[in-house]
Amino acid sequence: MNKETFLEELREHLRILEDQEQEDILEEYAQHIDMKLQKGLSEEEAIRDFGPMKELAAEILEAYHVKPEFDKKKPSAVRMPELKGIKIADGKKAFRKAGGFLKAKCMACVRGIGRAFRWFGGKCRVAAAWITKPFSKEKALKETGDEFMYGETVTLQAQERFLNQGHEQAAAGQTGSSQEKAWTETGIEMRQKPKRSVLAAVFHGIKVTWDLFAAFCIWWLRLFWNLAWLFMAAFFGFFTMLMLMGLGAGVVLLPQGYPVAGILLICLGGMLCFGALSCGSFSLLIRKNKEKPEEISEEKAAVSLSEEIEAIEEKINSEEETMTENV
Amino acid sequence: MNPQFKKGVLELIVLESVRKKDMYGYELVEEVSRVIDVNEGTIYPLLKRLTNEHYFETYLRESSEGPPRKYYHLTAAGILYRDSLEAEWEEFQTRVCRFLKEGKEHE
Repeated sequence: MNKETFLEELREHLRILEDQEQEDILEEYAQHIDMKLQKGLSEEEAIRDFGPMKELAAEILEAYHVKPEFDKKKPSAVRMPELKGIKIADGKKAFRKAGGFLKAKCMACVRGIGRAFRWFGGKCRVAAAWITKPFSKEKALKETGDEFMYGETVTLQAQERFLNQGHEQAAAGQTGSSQEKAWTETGIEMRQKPKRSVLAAVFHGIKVTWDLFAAFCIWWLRLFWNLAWLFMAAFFGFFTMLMLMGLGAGVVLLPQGYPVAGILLICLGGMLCFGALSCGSFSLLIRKNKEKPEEISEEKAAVSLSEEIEAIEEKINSEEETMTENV
Repeated sequence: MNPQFKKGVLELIVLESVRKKDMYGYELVEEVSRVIDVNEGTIYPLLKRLTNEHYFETYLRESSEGPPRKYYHLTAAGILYRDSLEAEWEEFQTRVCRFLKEGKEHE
């Protein structure tokens, strides 16, 4: 092996190093061989003193803290630097492609989770409606029963009162003139006519007030229910945010060598758990989109009915006044 | 001589050689070879490493024969490093000697 081939071979082994460094080292060895030649040794002898090429190259690379086997394992990667640009571009493209694919998958996943949550929310709402329905219905039935009985007694009392009044006035009429009798008779007649309507009106009024009361009760129930679940949703949401914060802190601290892997996992689990609870609580809120028109109509009906009752009462009052004036 | 012994002490010998006088590569190899029989090829990587770690500075100087030579000069950090290595060597050497002496006395 002569000097040129030795230096070329050594250069092959040192390709991993910067060009300037390669030149420095090769120059040293070249000079060393030249010195030996000046001393009268042959190139062969001078090179033989360096020992095996592999060991020499390994020792040089070791001085740079480079793994000696690196160059041997991947010579092509280093040997074609002109292809690097193209390779990087290809890699970038592939990376972008993979990123796009991953993004699409992630979006699909998120959409799926969202759908699952919506489905769960819907089910929960149905369940909540199913739970509350018999409860409110039973109560309503029970109270209507009470009211009905109460209403009956009231109507009975009213009937008695009217009857008594009628008797008194009849007695008064007997003592009075025939004209008065006629008046009283007409009065009774007149009174008996509105008596039926008054009964109906009272009954109607009670029914309407009951309906209003029931609607009122339901409204309050719903208000409390919604407030409670809204509070729960906010409460769990707060914890979700807290866990998210913990997760973020953990993600930052973990690569710095802090032993927070366990806390990180706890935070992740807690975040998912509280997030699910928060979403579940929020989905349990009862919205009254469908019930609104019905309620309005009911209210309107109630208002019109109450107006009717008022009108009838006013009529009766005016009649009574005229009656007393006449008497 | 055991090559492991040589490897351990080669650094100290190179540092001491350059401390006495600024030297170029081949000169240094000859100087070291006077003390211990060492593979000439292994000196250059060592010089390179010590230069990278700023224990040596290099400069070029024209020579009457052939191209300019690269001279090595010991820096302040290199002197401190050499002193610490020497202290380590002294302690190591005395301990080993004492131990060997003890063994001889027992016999």
